[in-house]
Amino acid sequence: MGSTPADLKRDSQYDRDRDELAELRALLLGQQIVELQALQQRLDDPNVRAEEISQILGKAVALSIKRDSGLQRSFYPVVEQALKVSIAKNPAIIATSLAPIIGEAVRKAVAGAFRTMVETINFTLERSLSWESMKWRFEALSTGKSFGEIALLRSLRYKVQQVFLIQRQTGLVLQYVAAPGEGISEAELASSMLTAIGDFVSDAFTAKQSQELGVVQTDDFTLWVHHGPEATLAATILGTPPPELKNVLARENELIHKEFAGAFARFNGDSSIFDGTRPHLQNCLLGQTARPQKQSWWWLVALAAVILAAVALEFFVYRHNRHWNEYLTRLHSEPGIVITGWKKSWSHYDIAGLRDPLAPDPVKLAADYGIDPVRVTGHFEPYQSLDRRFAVQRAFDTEKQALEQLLILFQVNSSGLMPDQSVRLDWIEEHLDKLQQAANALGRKIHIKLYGRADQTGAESKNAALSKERAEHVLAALLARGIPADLLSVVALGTNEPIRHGSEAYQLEVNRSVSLKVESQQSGDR
Amino acid sequence: MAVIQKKICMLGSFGVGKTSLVARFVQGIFSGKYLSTVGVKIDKKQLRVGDKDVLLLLWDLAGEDSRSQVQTSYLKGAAGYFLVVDGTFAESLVTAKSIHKRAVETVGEMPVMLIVNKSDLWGRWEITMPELERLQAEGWSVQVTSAKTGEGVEKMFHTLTEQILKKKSPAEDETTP
Repeated sequence: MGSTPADLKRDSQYDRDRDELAELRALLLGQQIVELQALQQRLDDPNVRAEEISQILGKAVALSIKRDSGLQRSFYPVVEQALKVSIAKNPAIIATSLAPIIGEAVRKAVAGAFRTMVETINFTLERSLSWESMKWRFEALSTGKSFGEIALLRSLRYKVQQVFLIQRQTGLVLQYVAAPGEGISEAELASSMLTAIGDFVSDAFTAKQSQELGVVQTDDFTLWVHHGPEATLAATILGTPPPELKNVLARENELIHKEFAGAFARFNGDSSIFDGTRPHLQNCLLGQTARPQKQSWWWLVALAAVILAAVALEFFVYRHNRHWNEYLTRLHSEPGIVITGWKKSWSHYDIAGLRDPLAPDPVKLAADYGIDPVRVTGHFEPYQSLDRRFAVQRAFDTEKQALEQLLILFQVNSSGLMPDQSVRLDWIEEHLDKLQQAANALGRKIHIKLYGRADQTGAESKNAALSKERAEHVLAALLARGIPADLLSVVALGTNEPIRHGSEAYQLEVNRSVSLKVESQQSGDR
Repeated sequence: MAVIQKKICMLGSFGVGKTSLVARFVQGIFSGKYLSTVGVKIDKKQLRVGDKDVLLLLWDLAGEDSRSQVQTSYLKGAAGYFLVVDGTFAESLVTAKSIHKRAVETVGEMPVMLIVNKSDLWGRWEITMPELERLQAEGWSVQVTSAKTGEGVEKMFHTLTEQILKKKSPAEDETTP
């Protein structure tokens, strides 16, 4: 389709109008147009825009952060992603930057873990062999719980009295619980003062701000503190708490931080937003009353019993030794007994030595000293003591025996002596004198009975008379030799108590005789 | 309405009357020996400002002298503080200003009141009225007090608490964008 002349005319008219409009525009808005073009260029050219934004970005970010935390939220995924990329590309950069912080954190964690471990070992050693721990182990086995858990529940050595949740920065108390019957009314002040003391310790005694108060201890009161990033959990404890309690504090504080992260950011002094932390604090109110007094009383009784038993044993051993020593002393001093050795075991005694047959039985003497003779065994060789008392006794016995063995023989059916029998009468005189001397030395009184006998031949009535005659014959002969009459008496035995039985000539001969019987008794015993 | 807790610090030279001002205002449980040992004594006082119950935890810090400086670490977490000066002793104002500077460096800007104490000894004042007016013109919130007579004591705690409550925390801003 071609252009008509009318069209061309209209076009030239249009061009003319446009030029005029442009001219008018240039006249009216000349400067602004230049500026607009410059502005256009600034907006279109990314290099210029970047240059400009770089100048104001810092201030804009600062303003945005001051206004709200929207920017942080927007940046958070970007930063996270950027970190991921950076670590994937070159982990060394992040590692180098974190090293100083991580080193410190690891040191703290390791030191804390070691401290806890040492305390645990101490505590475990202390209780591992006790009766209580046996019971706990059994309970742990039967309930399927860990031994530590049972120990924590059953331990009677401590009681958590109060638990504070404290905002770290301000020292304000966020939540507070106390065991029934415990607690103070000034939790806010106690909490603030604890924070102040923590600051004081940190400032005054430690070079690094990162080191914090973990324990306050007096004789029977302990304050354990667990520091979280936002809040501190502090427990006041009576008695000796088990190390596991520290883990409980740490666990509950970590849970509080997890569940109440928003509340920490929002906190403006109104602690009611932390009411939900109460169950966590109550989980820390562990332990029971301190070890009951009864326990120590039983220990005292047991100790007293042991001491008493030891004293009694000591006493018995002492008494025992004393009796034994007295017994030995007696044996040593006893004439006719020589001790050459002895051996004492727990319940039995062996004594060896020499014993004069005339000396008393050493074993029987033990009874005089409270020692059962059954428990004493004697090994004694016989010997003759030279002690004078034994010599005299022995002389007496010898003389007595000799005199009693002697027979004065008579002729058949007669009170006439057999030939040479007067020698025997002389011998009797001599030995009676010796016997008398020995008896005097022993303080004894003696009496001699003259037993007259007859053999079994002949009539019994005749024999009785004959035996009497024979005894009187000897009596007369001895009186004639100057032996006192009160020392002698006669007994007619007839055929009773013959020296020998039988009817052979030699048996009958010894029965036609007189023998002597020596009787003695202590002087004055009559 | 729950009670709102706020930590407030008392700062100033040695002997300007910080402890006496607190003692005038509260009844505490800790003895004065804490001040000389730990360097801080803490008392509390509950008051009502507007429709809010506020529990003030007053950290009375040991006074500064030529030998020892105020432990500014105790300021950490405070919502505001008083700078106490002794009207009869001009040097205490200089000290207060230097403490203020250090406090701002340590914990940043926060509500602060300049307390000129010992108004009962007015005749012996070294700090003049024009000087106080100049300070007010500079933006200081100034209160004249007497721990002895009680003048201005209640008011100073109320005023600072109001300032603290007025200053909205960033967290509160967030809830009302």
